[in-house]
Amino acid sequence: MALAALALVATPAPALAAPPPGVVGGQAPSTPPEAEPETPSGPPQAGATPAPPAPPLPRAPVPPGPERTSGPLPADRAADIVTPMWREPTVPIDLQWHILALPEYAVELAFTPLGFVVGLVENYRIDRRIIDFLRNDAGTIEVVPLFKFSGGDGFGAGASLELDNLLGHEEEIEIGGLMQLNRDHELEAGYEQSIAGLDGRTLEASITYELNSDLDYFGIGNESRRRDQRVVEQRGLDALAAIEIFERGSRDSYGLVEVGYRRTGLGPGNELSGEPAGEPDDPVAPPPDFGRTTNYGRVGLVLRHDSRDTLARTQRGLLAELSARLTSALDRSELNALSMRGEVTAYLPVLPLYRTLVGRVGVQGVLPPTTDGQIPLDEYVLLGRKNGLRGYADYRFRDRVGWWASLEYRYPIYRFEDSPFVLSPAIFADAGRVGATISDLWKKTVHWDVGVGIAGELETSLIMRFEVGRSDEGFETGFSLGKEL
Amino acid sequence: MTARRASIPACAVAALVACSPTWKRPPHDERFQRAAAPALHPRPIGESLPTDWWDRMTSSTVQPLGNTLSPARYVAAAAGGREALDVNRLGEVPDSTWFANRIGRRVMTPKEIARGPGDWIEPAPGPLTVVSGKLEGATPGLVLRDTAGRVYFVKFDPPAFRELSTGAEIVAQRLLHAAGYHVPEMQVTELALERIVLHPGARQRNSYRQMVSMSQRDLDGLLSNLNPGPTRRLRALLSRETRGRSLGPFSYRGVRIDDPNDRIPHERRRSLRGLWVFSAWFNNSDVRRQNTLDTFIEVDRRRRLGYVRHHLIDFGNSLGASGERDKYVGEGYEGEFDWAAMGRRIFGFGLRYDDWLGLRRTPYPSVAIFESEMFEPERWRPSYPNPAFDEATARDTFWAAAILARMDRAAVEAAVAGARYSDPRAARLITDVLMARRAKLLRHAFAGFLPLVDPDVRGYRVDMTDLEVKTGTSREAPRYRFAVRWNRSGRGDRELERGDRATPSIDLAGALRRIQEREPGAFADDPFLTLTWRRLRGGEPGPRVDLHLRVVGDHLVPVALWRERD
Repeated sequence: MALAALALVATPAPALAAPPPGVVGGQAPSTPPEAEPETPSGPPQAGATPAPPAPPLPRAPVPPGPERTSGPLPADRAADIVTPMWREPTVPIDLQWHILALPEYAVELAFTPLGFVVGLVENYRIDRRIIDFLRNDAGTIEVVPLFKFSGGDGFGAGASLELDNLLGHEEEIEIGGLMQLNRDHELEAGYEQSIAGLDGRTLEASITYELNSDLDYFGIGNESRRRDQRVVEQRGLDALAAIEIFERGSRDSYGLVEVGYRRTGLGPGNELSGEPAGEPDDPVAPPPDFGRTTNYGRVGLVLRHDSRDTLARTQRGLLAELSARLTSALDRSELNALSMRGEVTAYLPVLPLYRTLVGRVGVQGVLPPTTDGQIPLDEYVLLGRKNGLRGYADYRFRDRVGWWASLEYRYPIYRFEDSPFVLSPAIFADAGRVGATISDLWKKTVHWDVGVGIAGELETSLIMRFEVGRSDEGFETGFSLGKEL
Repeated sequence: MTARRASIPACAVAALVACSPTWKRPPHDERFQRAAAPALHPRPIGESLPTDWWDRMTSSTVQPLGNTLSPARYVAAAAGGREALDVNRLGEVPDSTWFANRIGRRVMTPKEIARGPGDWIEPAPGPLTVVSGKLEGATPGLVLRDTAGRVYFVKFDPPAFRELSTGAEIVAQRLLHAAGYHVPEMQVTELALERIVLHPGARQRNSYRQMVSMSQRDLDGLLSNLNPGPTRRLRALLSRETRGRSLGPFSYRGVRIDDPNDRIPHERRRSLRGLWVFSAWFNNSDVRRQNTLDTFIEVDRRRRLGYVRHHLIDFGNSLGASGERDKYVGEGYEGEFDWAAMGRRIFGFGLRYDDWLGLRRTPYPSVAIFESEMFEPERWRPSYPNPAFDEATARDTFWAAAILARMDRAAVEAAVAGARYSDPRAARLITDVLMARRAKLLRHAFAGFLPLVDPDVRGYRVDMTDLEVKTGTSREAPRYRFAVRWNRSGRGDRELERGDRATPSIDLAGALRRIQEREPGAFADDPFLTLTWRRLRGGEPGPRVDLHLRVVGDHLVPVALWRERD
């Protein structure tokens, strides 16, 4: 090496021989070498000469070299001073780099099974096959999967068969059911049709059966404590018929008169879910209709005014609802209730492009229409996670009167290209209280919570919503697909 | 050389050589080189086309999540990134199966640019037989065979935006070809509907991705949905099959394990990293592996050996186009699932509005949304993160911008002319926007560098080109400070000359003559010079460019170039 180095530095730059004809860039075009005979495979035998190393791969013909931009090469340049052949560097192993990148590899490895599933779905369009399987070509018959998840009730799944105008009378028929892991279930059948003879007013009829073995019950009163939680088993059968008050085409107004029958049985709940109500010496008094099955008749009136600009991504408008309902036990006259409820939700655009403030306020009162009457459990004013106080457990507060209010700010953070799908987070604050009399509504103890949520929406429907509320009793989360929360 | 000098101990000389930087060791790199001929190998087995959904999911979520959790990313950022590996000592990318220097090496005439790659052959007269519906991509299309047996892939414009997709593909294809990338041959033409006939065995994919027969009704439906006018002719983009057998796409990360020639990780290829500059230029927001293609070129037919060539395809998301429709207003300004942008908006509480929300379509349906005023190179985002783009360093960007700088208005007009827009105002608007975006990209790429390129060495004279001056992006009259030193291994360098000049050009004959007179045979042992240029900005010297030269007899040879970043 030393002699070679000496030769390199000690010898004056040799005169370059003129490159032979056909040579470009000082290098003869190479041709793929003839492949050498294949070496035998397997371990070498004892005494045998070691197998020769595998021959190098043949090479493709070298295309003509690049044109020079700096004039012709002088004839005295040595052929080995410059070369048009790039010597590819040895790629460093970069072990330290790969060690630092291990978390990245771990993440990709963890997601790999999902890749198989996604690939399977896309390659065979399983999504489209399922959709096509669940509905007919005309769109009149559709099977809709139902899913439900909540922290208290767990996961539930079911399906609903929807028949749309199958009989040609613009009717909608729905038959469905859902079962949860704890074997609580719901069954529902419904019918809806607009009656031409009644100026297009809609007639609705439905029958629902529900078993809830772990209905939360915290006693009656605003001062009930979290540790007062009990579980009640509720079996309910509802049959309802309703007809619209206003004719079709009434833009913002909606009214409904309903007549119904309800059969409810209340008993001790599933002890795996909590302490059953109605135990001897339990300081938490069970509801008045506990321990028996009662048949009720119902009649009610609902009036609604809806001037929202869209159903889902509402920017402005008002949604007001007023309802009254009389419920009376058909076999025990002291279980009855007259309930009146009003709620107003206002949508106000505070900034352009869906930055919306939503304010809601509601009040409800129920009283027994007879002096010796008692109020059935379902008729009490209810505040909780699904009813106005998102930072508290479901069914948290019950009493005869109550008010609630909330303020929510919604704004978009993501829109998928030009599609109508949008993700919108929200920050909210709720407040409310219940009481035994109207004067209790102005007392100081008000329950309140704050929270954040995020919703995935289209212009006309809510796809999913997730909320986390925080109150003095801790955190509550809610997730829903579709409208219900 | 005197006998005394010849008596330097051999070990000392050997030590000098061993201690010298690698760029001093011959043979030195020519400026434009070619990679060694690829080794021949059997055709890699099977196509590896990942599903589109999974590709989007990994690009948008899985890889960015892994990247965020990976310390490697932050270490690389702190260290200024990992430099590319497919670069020679003069900072150029050699010709290879990935890239071929074109406009970067020689002047391309507007006619060449407008014509595009290959020797385009129009379909032979007579019927064009539909052999299948187009299998991949977002735009409706057909595969046609002419009477001479040539196969063409045909794409059409969305009915509401005539010339939008086809024009965008052509403009991008012409510019990428001129830059040096391997792209398919394509041309825009008008097809008479009467020529399109259905082959009895034509196939297409149905909604379940099953291959089914294509009926005349299917074909009529596709053609009528394209809304041909009363002339019964449709504008169409025809492209030829790329040379070789399709092997599916290549990834912008890692290597192809069944290709023995593919040794450099793709994210460390300057040719792929620098592609972001061109993608940002004409707003090709869909630069995913789905829009790449590897083909197997069979060289030895008897032994069925060949090599893999790498192409870019599908430029239908360029300019104002986005496949079957016009671009969504945010394309190019944020990714399709831009988690960082979402995070900023969550904590912004809706009080902040993205400036691009104010963008409006141009008056031309063939252009849609394509603008330059709001465009900022450092903010440009492809729809899905690209691993090679993410690893691009400032030098990779500079390299691409140096090529971009050679595409003057005439070149851009030629590329746009290839798209055959029917409205000259639309063509002019596209050209104007491209030139304005080009100027911004050049300013961004050259920031922190002294953009001296094209070392032209004749005898002892060295001329370089200042790209900022050439492209007019420099506002002040330049003044250059140079220094020439004798770059000696094992000994201190000796400065030969320094001074200021109005242009980056210098004749070193005088300096070399003076040293040769004082020390005859001075450069026999250590024949290397370093010419350092800085540009004076407000009287202060900026970042430097070191051009290393070797003295060879009566002339100099450039052997290496180093560009400092401010």
